[in-house]
Amino acid sequence: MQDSKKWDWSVGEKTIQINDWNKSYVWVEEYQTSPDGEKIGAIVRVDEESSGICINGDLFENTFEKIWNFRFSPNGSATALVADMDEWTVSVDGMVWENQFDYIWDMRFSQDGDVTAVAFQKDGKYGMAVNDTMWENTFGNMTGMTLNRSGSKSAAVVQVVPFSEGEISKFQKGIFSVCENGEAWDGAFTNIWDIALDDSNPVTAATIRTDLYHYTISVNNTPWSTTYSCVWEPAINPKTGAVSAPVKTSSGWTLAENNHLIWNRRYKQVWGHQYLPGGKNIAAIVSPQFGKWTAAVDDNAWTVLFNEYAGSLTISPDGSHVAIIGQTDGKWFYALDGKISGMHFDRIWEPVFSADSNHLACKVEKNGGFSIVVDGKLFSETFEAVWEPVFSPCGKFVLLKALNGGVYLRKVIAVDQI
Amino acid sequence: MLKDAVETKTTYEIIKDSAVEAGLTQLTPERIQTVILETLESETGPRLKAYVNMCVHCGLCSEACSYYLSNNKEPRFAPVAKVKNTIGEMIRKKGRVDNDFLRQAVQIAYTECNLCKRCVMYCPFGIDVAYLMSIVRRICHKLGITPQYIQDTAHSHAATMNQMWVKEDQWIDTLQWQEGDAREEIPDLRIPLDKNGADIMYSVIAPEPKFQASLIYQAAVIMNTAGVDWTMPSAPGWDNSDMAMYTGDSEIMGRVKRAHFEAAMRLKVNRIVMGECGHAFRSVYDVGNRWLSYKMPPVPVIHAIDFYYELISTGKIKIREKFKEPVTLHDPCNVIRGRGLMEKSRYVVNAICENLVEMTPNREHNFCCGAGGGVINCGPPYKTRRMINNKRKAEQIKETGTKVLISPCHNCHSGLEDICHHYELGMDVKFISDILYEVMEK
Repeated sequence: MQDSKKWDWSVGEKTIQINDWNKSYVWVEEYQTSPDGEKIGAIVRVDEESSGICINGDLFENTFEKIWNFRFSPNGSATALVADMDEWTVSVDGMVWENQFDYIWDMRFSQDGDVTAVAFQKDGKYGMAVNDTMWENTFGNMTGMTLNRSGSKSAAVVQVVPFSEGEISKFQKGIFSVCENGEAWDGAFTNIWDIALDDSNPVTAATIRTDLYHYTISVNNTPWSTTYSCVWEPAINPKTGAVSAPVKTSSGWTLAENNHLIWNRRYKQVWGHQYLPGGKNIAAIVSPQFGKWTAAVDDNAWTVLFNEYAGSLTISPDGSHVAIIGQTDGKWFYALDGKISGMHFDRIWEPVFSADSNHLACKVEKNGGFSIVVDGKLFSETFEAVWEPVFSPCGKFVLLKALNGGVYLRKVIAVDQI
Repeated sequence: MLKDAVETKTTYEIIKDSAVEAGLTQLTPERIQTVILETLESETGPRLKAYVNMCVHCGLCSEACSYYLSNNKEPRFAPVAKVKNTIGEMIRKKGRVDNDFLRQAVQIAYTECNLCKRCVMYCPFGIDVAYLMSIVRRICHKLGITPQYIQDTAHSHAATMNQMWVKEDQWIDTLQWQEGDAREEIPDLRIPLDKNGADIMYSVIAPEPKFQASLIYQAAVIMNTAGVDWTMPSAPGWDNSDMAMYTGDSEIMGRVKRAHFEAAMRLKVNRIVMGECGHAFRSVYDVGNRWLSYKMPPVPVIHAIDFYYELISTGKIKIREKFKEPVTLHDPCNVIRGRGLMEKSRYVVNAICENLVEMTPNREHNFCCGAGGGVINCGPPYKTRRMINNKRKAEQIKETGTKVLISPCHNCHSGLEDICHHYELGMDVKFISDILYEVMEK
């Protein structure tokens, strides 16, 4: 991961001309920016047969027949899925992995960006490849790939029993397992979804269906003894390793942890829950009444209700604040600790907290222009495009990456000047 | 006269379905009663009671039902009879019904009512027979007696979040394949994957990548020609269809719909535009969203008819030369009775075709295709009977005298192809996009 303390946080603006890229190439795909904002890049079509990656106007030497999913990793590496002669591999800063595959997708990074994982299909078998190392075992099908934050664990739902379409009895007896770092759990379930991996605890959890009607959570391949009519994705307590999940009871949705109901209230919906740092509190998106949405912290639903949607639950680094975005009557807002933003937007992106948890920013669209809102104040300039804002480590500055008139702008703005 | 209007067998028989038979062997009278009573108690309420108490058995629903009309007005096919012979008996007998009853209930609820809601318009009290049949399907699901083929489709939804067992790499590879092919025609054409902040997420149903990839090609040409800011998701959630809605597996329906909405939310699009599918629209706009507690979809969902209307009426797509051959137009129940797109579909068809010959009746009164409510998905065991049950529809189509039938719905399209083949109507069934792609300026 790039050390943001080393970034250039001096207030001001840097620009990169990109308007001539369209003249140099057949086409230019979606622009991507590096975490520090110093680089802008895109997949470019070089000629009728090949594509390349252009960074700050310079084309990588290697070109390929096909490229997709180009992104900068958290450590700033320009990473993409590339193919020649229908052989796919991963390109990192212009260098390709040794392994080649029939297809790769679902590229994921560890939090620091040092680990890159992809799902692969080779000779009709499926697995994951992590930093150019393939899982030892491969499978007939695979879904729900995931990578933990440190990159030490990769996992997916894998098909472990031979199966043909139409074999409904075999399906219901169970054909799926969890594969972690290439080793599948023993046995099989009817369905498995939403694998949760932990960094600090030896815990792997997933939602399972043991037949068509019984849902529960399996922790390290041991299902909870209680089943429910439906269950959503589990989360792992970062401190204790306890596993919790939204469960549907006969009276509504609520939250269970380690096989016991821990919230008293019943909701029309509960999902997207997260532990706050320290592991003592849980926040979730809830629907306290049909068609109304908000957040709840420790079973206390906020009074602010959105008519259409609430999501993107974000917790500040110190756990003292919770933010969500929500929509009412087609207008988008954010809400912080139960209070709705004063202004509304045409679109709003995920809330971003500063490292000291004292500031909140979001990318927004309003009246056809893009900008950022910081601590409830809309930045005065609008742009054709912006990326999600990044706070300086001290929280006093915010990095705005934007496009306007064929120019990429890297702006550092003092938070108190917005 | 239709080919086998005379020789059509009207003898009623219960069709053997291996999954239904296997499921029945696992049931006990106690289990049957418990499931029925629990479902009625925990999943129904005043709506069911009101419908059951209000029905005066006037029979006005009968003439509205294409199954009834296709079977020489045999009383058992009247909607009121279907209700009486399924949920009515379950309620009257307080769940004490036997396997023979359930075998018949499965056949009625899954294959003799397409949940088209035509009869609702003719009921003096507005009783929603589709809702009642959906409860029967829900009970059958919980009893484990869902027909095999549609159950397999629900399994596919559960495992892959799409209805055709399309694997994750196959989906993306197919999009890139179609993109590559379309570049032969439009050299700079793109199918942008995972474009965050695009205006539109375009979603399709799984038969498109599985069997009908040319529809993705056509959509890409339309989008690129119109200059639309669009994207398609590479991850599960791309399939907007939902056969679990029709098997009665509400939990899987909800999971599939959540994946679809979250794909759109993840990409931060302004709206979802979906291809020409009716039941998918119903699942996103009416049923699945509400199971999740969304009163309306959390992101606006636009059916293809509505989208084509927008593109043509705003001049984003211009018509080079109209399709000359006379065409007729099928009104899919899920977007006509379900969404009111009948005038927009006619605007679009009249914009791209020289001569639209209306079926009679039409618009919200149009007869059902007999497929799109999950009936066609029950598969080959029921096909022969499905063709008999579609005789009235065949007559309606034949009466137009046209040779081209437009159906802006996937399941209707497949069902109508079966009808045209079975009754030797000699008609070519097309999607709107088939003709739009052919006649538009590129």
